[in-house]
Amino acid sequence: MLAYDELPEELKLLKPAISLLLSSKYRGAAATEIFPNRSESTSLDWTFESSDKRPVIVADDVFTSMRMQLKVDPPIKQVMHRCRAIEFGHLRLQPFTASKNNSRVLFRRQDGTTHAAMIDQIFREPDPLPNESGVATGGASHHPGKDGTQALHAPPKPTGGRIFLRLRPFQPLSEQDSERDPYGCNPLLGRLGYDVFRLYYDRTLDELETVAIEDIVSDLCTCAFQDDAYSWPLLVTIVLDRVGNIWIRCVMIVY
Amino acid sequence: MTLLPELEEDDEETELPLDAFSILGSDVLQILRQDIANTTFPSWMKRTPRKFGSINFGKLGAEEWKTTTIVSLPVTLLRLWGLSRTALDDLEKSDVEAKKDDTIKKSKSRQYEYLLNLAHLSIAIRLAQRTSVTDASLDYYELHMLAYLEGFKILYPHIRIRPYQHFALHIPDVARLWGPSIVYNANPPEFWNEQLQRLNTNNKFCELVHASLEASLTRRFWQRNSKFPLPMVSVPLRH
Repeated sequence: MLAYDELPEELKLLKPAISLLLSSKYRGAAATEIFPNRSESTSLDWTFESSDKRPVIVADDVFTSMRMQLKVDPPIKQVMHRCRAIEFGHLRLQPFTASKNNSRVLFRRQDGTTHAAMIDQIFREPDPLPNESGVATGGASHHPGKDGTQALHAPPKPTGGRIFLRLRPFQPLSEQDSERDPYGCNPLLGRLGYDVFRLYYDRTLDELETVAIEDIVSDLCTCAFQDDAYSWPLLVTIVLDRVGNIWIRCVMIVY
Repeated sequence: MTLLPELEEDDEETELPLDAFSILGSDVLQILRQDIANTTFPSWMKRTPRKFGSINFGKLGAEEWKTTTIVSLPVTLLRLWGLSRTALDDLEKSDVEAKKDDTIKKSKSRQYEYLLNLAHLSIAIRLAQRTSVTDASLDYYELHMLAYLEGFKILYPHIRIRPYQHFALHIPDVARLWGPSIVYNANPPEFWNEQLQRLNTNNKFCELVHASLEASLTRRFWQRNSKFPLPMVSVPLRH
């Protein structure tokens, strides 16, 4: 955004201030380079609530779709907990059927691009049983080798506790409507700047996407409105960027 | 929207009262309130009051101002005052008579300047409220806060810079010494001030002190024993 020689017209007045403060230290730095110590959350950081006492068998079509979209090792199993909420510090994520306000997220796709979506379902793998994980029994397992000696093998990777989300991405604008988009064109808040405000249609794509919790970038505020100049009602998304910045790392859920 | 009047040289020290001119106006305020009603806020966030700008509502808290500046005002003003790629072309092609055309262009560009000024403030607040800071984030905060204040002096020449606006430029100095502001800001004591202000004391001051102390001790007990965040509950009052 702040490539020194390519400042947009609106920011050229700030050239003296920029040269004073930044000189050539951050020349050409993108917004993502401002925060190099951004920490990603993992499944172990999240606590969850579930109304089912035991894990359920995920429907065949849903499981097939999830397995095709998720390239994880080890592969997911069909028996999982359905979560009505997951929490990480003050951040609370829920399916849209449970809470509209806590269901809007920005996620990262395989190609590295980010997109706004609504959470449809949250799944969590059951915790591993002691005899299923090498970690619980102390590590490596012994197998007889070709010459009869005992060979050490690496323990199998634990499979329990991973969290996956089924998302309904919002539909992006058409080429024609993008020309009228005042949010994306703003040099500070739009995609040319910090990319905080984005405009989508107020409807979701037909195909759901499955991601791991590590691919959730941020939660969102959204605002729906109608404008006759566009072909469909619209939705503004505002990135809040809280996943990498949490208030308290360990919080007990009070039921 | 009323454009600011130009001052004569000997009136430079005169500060007009804030109600001498309006920036948003009643039309924009009405659209803003509709947008606030249609906005979803995560549960951890204090939402903008639905009656924002109403005389009867009362004063806003720090968190409400933060949400308003980061979310609500930009959502509405970007749509109304922002310029898309075709908006400027449409403005030039309008078939209004020449004199009105100049006035419309002037007010539109002025509105865009107000919007950019707000955008600088919005970004500065986002950078200041982060729970982790780096040298780069603090430098960018200084850049945007400086841009906001420089623009403020140009766009609002009749309003003096206040001390807290000057203090805002020193936040990076403090953050470089003590870390992100969330660690030492006044939000927790301000929250308890608000809770105390809401109590119906009914002239029973001694019982109020007793109840506050009891609630405070209870809160400390919860914090030590259950890793509980600040409880968002009202303080019980003995009768």
